Amino acid sequence: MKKNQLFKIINLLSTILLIIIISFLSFNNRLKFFIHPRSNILLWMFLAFLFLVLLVQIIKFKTIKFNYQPIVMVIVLLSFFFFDSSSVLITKSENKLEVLPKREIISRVEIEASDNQGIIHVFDDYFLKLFYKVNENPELYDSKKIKFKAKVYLPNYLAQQQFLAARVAMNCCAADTSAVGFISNLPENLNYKIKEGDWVEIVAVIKNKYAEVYKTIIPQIDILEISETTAPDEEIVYP
Amino acid sequence: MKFINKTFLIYLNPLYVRELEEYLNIKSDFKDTKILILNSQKKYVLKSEYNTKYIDSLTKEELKNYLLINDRIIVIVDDSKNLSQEFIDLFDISYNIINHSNFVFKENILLVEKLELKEFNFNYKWLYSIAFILVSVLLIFVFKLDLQILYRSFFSTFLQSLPFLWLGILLSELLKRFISEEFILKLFNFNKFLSYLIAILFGGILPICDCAMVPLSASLAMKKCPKFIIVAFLLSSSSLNPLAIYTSYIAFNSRIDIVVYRIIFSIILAIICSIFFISDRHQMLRIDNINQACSCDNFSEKKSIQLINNVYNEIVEICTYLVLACFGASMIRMIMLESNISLLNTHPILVILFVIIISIFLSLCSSSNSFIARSFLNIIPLYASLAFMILGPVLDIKNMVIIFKKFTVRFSVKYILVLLLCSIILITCLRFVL
Repeated sequence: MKKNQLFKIINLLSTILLIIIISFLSFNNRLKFFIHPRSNILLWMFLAFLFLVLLVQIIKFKTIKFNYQPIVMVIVLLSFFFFDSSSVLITKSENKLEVLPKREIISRVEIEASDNQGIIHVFDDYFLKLFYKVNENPELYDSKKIKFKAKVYLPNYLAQQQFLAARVAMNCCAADTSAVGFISNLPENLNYKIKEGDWVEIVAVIKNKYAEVYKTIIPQIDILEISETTAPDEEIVYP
Repeated sequence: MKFINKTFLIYLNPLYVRELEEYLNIKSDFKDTKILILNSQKKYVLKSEYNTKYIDSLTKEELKNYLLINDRIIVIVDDSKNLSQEFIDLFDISYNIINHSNFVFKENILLVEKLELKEFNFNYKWLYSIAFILVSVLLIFVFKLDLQILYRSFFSTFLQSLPFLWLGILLSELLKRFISEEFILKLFNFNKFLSYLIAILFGGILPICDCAMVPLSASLAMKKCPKFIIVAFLLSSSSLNPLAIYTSYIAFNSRIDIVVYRIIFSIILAIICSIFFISDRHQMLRIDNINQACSCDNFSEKKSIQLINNVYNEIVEICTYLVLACFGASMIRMIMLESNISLLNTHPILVILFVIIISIFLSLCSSSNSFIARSFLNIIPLYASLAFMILGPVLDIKNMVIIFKKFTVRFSVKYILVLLLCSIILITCLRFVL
């Protein structure tokens, strides 16, 4: 086979590989750990474009020029299947603080429901929205009881008997994920040993207290009840 | 069979075909020389005043016959990969030229000095990549970076940026086909004040990626468009386009204020920089670029196929840079996080230096840099992230190389110095606003 012909086949193959990889990638369950689900539609559009490229390359096979660059793209995208780093999100706290407050206002009914004991039950998917609401209206939520599911994080800025009851929040991609949640104060009389990475169900009361790390008064929670639980269906929350 | 001393095969960028034609016409010895172009761009046929013949594809036999019938022929191929060895064997002399200033005629023989720029570009790209990989490996070991976190950060930024980059390139290519260069040139050539306004606003709404802006600006300079208008157009269109605005909106959590600041400060940057060029009367274009057509002239019969090919070639090419840029950004971010280096509350001079350095070395397009800027939010202040979004596409190292290639050294140096000065002013202003 001539060298020229071989190069053409390599290029055609790299396009086919790109299509296969992006197809698998866009329907892979792990993708949500890397990018926001809203980006999937653009990825599918890109995939459709690659099909067109393949079609053109098949029709105009003679005119294909050798180009090593699609191979670079193939290698980078292929790494997704061999380098599983999605678990990093679940096991490691990166000690990051969310610095960009969300300005969106959502109706209260949408994110929470109060039972007859006056406890606000926060739906799993809306934890982040409630967190922002509480931080934007600290007076409104002061002394309110709250029940939610969260993950235990132990950033190094917290004192003893404190942990972060948080969820992993993603704004646009994994590069900006952060553990967003309440600083939780655990009374010693409660029978729970703090362990990073645990999923817990918490009933707590919101209190506006001084936080050394922020050098200001912020809403924190004093835990009333805590029990281990299973992870929610969607571990990541999106603003 | 060889056609000794009368047939030349030249691998020439089609942009220089007119230049070659004019050159041949001046040289009496070569006045009757016929130029045959294979796989070339037909738009030049319309402009050609000489005897150039354009052929899309030719068999070996047809080419041989053509060479036999005609006396002296120069066959031009736009890329060495377009021609197989059996074609190349037909010619006595073959050359690889890019820049017309390398045409040298001596005793009826066309001598062409190999252009060093191409070699330089090639090595430069590889050297840059190799140096980058070596530095990265070194930094990973020195700072003991967690590879899993580094990979997650890199891959997510890359995957998030890739479809937006593709969309930007697609829109840019579509625009090149639907808005002609003549139309843009007309816009900038009636009234100075109006043209200035149009340059700033039109630059902002054109979804052309910043890589295409320098050649387009060079073609404006060829048409004697005032320098300050060109600078305003170049800057506003590089840092601003509809897709860049949209990606800022997405990356910054639907914050309209960030988007508005991006638009306003990009325009301010364009205005301040262009003021420095109002009274500048010096030559702008390099002598060897004066008669050159714009590289945006890209026209073919099979428009849709050409469009798909162009977009694909461009995306895979820029992707290589995107990989490096995303990896670089992730590493900078991780090193700063792991070493507890935060510029959130440091001296503004350090922030300015940081923003300028990452803008230059990450070399990101306006359509993809919002996501990188967003990922820097935990280590640099919000105003610095915004400054990075605005300055990233204009302080881009690859654009600087193209600027030096197209414009005079005097103009290029002045442009870059003015840009650096204005960047400092811009970051300082942003600090007080945000």
